Amino acid sequence: MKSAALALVIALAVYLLARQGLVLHDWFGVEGKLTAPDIIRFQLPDALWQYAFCMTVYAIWRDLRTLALPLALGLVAEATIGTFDPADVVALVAGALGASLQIGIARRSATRHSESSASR
Amino acid sequence: MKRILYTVLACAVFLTMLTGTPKKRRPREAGSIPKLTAPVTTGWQRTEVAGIRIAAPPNATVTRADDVYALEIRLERDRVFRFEKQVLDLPQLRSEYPVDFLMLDAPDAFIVLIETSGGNDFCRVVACSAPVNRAPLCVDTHAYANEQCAQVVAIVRSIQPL
Repeated sequence: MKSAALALVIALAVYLLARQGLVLHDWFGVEGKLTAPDIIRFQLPDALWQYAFCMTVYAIWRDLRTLALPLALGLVAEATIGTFDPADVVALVAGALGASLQIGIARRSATRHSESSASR
Repeated sequence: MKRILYTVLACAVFLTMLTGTPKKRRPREAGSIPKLTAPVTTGWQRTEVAGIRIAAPPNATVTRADDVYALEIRLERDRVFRFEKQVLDLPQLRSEYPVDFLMLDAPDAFIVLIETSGGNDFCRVVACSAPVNRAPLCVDTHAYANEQCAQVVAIVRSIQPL
């Protein structure tokens, strides 16, 4: 969950500092002035948001299959609120894959740890 | 039950975050909607396909669609416009929009500005050629660039039977 929170903070920072003219800027009373490549300005926050969403839902269910829900909602949001830019879709899928990869690695190391504890 | 509740809460929180990401909408000032004209087709490539002659911008590709009554023109990567033999009721379609939002208004074509809540405005273009073998070739499509909508009108107007 720490990584999800960190991902959200980074995504928010990118939105606030490297984008201009968003509703978010009114909320926080700032205007982005940094320049960055498009992939950082547009796709990175999408991927981080999707990653955090997947990690949160996994923390509730502890079941990898439930990651389909946040991914589906992310894609629906992209198609309705967003532009359904193929690059954004790739970013969302990458975010979900990143989360599932991290979860898979964490589960494997937890299994190894419990096996080695049991064998002692 | 608790899990479902937490999931609903998580979904609500994450989707609420998205409400801050669209561009701010500023009310349009009177006369701020641009008026468009179809570009002149001098210098455009002329293609003869499916019994018609058609002009298309440089770098565009014109192909006959799988069915014999349609043409497809690719103006840029991933953006294909389809021109079909069909009869569209232009006055009826045009009447669905406020006059202020019409960027081009002609008997054979109109381009209208469509505003979206997300700020990703786009143009809708509806245009019909003169009849080719008893039916006109029509297009009803959209684009994010006004120039592309105007180009579509110019393409339709260039259509002539061979």
